[in-house]
Formats: sequence, structure tokens, C-alpha cells
Amino acid sequence: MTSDFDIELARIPDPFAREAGAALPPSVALARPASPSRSRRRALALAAACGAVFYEAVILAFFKTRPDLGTTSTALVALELAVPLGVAALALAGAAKSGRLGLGEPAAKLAAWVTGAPLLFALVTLAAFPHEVADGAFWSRTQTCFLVTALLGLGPLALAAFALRNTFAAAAGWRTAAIGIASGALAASTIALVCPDGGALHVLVGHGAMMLVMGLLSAALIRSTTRI
Amino acid sequence: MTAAARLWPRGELTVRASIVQSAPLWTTTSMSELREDAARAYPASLAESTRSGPLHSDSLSAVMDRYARGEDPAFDELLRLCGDLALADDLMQETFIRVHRGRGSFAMGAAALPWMLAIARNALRDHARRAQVRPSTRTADRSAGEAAQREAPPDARGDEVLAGQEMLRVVRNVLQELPALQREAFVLLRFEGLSVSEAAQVLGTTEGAVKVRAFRASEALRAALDQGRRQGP
Repeated sequence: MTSDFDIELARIPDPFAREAGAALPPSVALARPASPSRSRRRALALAAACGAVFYEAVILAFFKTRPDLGTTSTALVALELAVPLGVAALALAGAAKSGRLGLGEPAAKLAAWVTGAPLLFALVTLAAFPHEVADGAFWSRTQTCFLVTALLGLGPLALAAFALRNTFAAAAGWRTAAIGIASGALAASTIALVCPDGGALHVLVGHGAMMLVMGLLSAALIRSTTRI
Repeated sequence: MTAAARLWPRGELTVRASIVQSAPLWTTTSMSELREDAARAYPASLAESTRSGPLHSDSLSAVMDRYARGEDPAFDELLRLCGDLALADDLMQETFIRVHRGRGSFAMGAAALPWMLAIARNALRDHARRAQVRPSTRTADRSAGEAAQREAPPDARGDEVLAGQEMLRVVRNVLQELPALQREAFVLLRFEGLSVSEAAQVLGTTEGAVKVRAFRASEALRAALDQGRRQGP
């Protein structure tokens, strides 16, 4: 290598001289937290609850309220609304309780809540509502109600799945089933404002069965989303 | 020291993953840096414990502190459940990522350790599920090799050391062959020191189920150890 060449090399500046010699810059924490904080989770759950109510209202507006609301027994309609809402509240309370260790209620208790809430609905429905005589159109009416209830329940369930992702460390299956039951119960309550059929069997199958379906569906499909 | 603690001795702690996205990358092996990162990501105000007892005295920040010091029951649980040091290390990192994702759902005032144990178990179960679909090409079991290569104490008798190693081998093999549900229950009760109700909550099942699973696991171990004794020297 000639001396001229050495001189030429020495003239070439090092574009990375400053960065290469200096220490690595200190890492900077991101301004926005990467995972939801406790307050953000609460806000998200509240927004999901409001969204669920809004969704129910929109579907209700689409299907219109039952024509006999003014003439039928107010107590019976109130009962038809209150029982599923009570079941939803029970199921939600079961899912949300943090328990002694912060892992939720023990599985045996959760199982009792999850199976007991729909059972309570079934018992109250059979005891309080008139038993109709099944005519030829019974199953088609019930099937229609069942599908509308499914539509009413899917929105709240999807919102709950979104708001509660990465939430349950233990017993995620039971707790997610409780969320599904609550969504089904909310739908069963809303359908009572649409469907004028107040027969016990119709209410039980057409309106209430969705609680079990949603409970099973959510335990099977949404558990992996809600589990940490 | 318990048999299983000797069985899978704790290796030097290394953290390779980006555990906390809002904090700097935890690509360091320096414990002091790791501890600083943990303290920054999980300030004590996030989760103060109000309960008493060894299991409940850990807030989330205290658990992170213990991890930085090289003590971590969640890692120990994973190691005992999977029996593979490298896999336990990977799963511990996955556990930390999940802890960070789910930090907002941690109940204020609750104990962090059972919560973390439950998350570690979820990580292990998910890994097992994935492994069923996509079997791993991993063949080496480092922990087994390391256990066999440990040095005996200088004043130990040779036959005692051999018998001890044989017992550890039997325990390890039986634990690995046990159904996962039985192994989890046994490890939580016997080695992690949880009560039956605590283990039931961590496993998300009933106390009766935990007792039955742990009993079956201990029966399998007892049978294997009896058989080993009869076939002994």
C-alpha cells in the first residue's frame, strides 16, 4: 500500500464516529402504557356495559316493542324483565368477585353461581308464568324468539369479550361462562319487550335457553381470550 | 432442601426477552438493572398486600424484587412441572409478558404469588397445547443432565450418594409421566407449600379434586419408590 493511498484514506471522514464512540443512549419508556391499567380496565368495562345497553336499544328499535304492553299485566311484564336481569346481575357478580386470593371465587362456588342462576330463572318462570297449551305454531314462534334472543345476546357477549380480555388468571372457563350467561340473560330480558308470548314454556325455551347456550359458547370459545 | 429442589437445581438467572414494553427492553443479564426495571414497571403502589403469612406477604413489586434476586416460586413451579430448565426459562418470560398484559386485572390488596402461579400454569398449559399441534424438535433435557452431574458433598458416602441419585431419578421420571393435572396438584401442595384451598384456586378447580389428584400422584410416587427399593442393591 503506497503512502499516497494512506493519505487518501485518512481524509475520508467516519460518518458514525460520534455514535460509535459514545455510550448507548438511555432507553426511554413509552409515553403510553402497553397494557391497560386498572383504571383503564374499569373504563373499558363501563364502556362495554353502556355499549351493550345501546346495542339492545338499537335492536329493540328495529324489532319494535310488543303491541300489548299497555294492556297486559304490568306485574307479569315486570317479572319477565326483572328475573333475567337478576340472573344477569348474579352471574356478573360471580364472575367479577376477586375472592380471597384475588383469583376469583373458588371453582365450586363459581359452578354453583353459573348453574344456579339459569336454574333460578327456570324455577321462577315455571312457577310464575301461565302454562300454555302448545299449539302447532308453538315451535316456530319459539324458534323465532330463540334466534332474536341470540342476536340480542351476541352484541353484549362480543363487547364483554373485548373488555375482559387478559382478565382471569384462574377458573377462566367458569368465569367466562358466567359472562356468557349474563349476556344471554340481558338478551332474555330485552326480548320480553318484543315478544308478547308470556307462556312459561315459551319464555323458558325461546327466551331463557340462550343463557345456557351463551354460557357454553363463551366457556368454549372466549375463554382463551379472557384468560391471562 | 426437598428432593425436588435438589432434583432440578436452580440455574443462573438470565432474562432474554422484552418483558415490559413500557419499560426498557430486558435484554440484560445484570440483576441490578433487572431489579430497577422491575421496580419501574411495578411500583409498590400498584399492589400492596394487606394479608399476612409467607404466601400472602408478596405484593407484585415484591415478587419482582424476589425475581431480581434470583428467587422465584413461579419459575420453580414451572421447572418442577416441565422438568426442563430452558423451557421453564422461556415460559417464565411468557409469564412475565402475561403478567404485564393482565396487570390491570390484579386485585388491589390481593397476594401476587398465587396470581402469578396461576398465570405461569396457564402459560405452561398453552405451551403443552401448542406442542400437541406442533411438536417441538427439542431433544435435550438440560435439567436431567445437570442433575446427574452435580457434585456430591465431600463427606458423603458413595452408596448414599448413589441411592439418593437413584431416588431423584425415580421421582423425576414418575413426575414427568404423571398426568398434568396430578402433577400440578402435587407440585403446588408438596413443593410450593400451598394449602389445598389455595392450590384449588390457582388450578381453578375444587378442593376435593385437588386432594384426589395429589393423592393419586403421591400413590404413584410411593409405588415407584417401593419398587425401586425392592429392586435395590
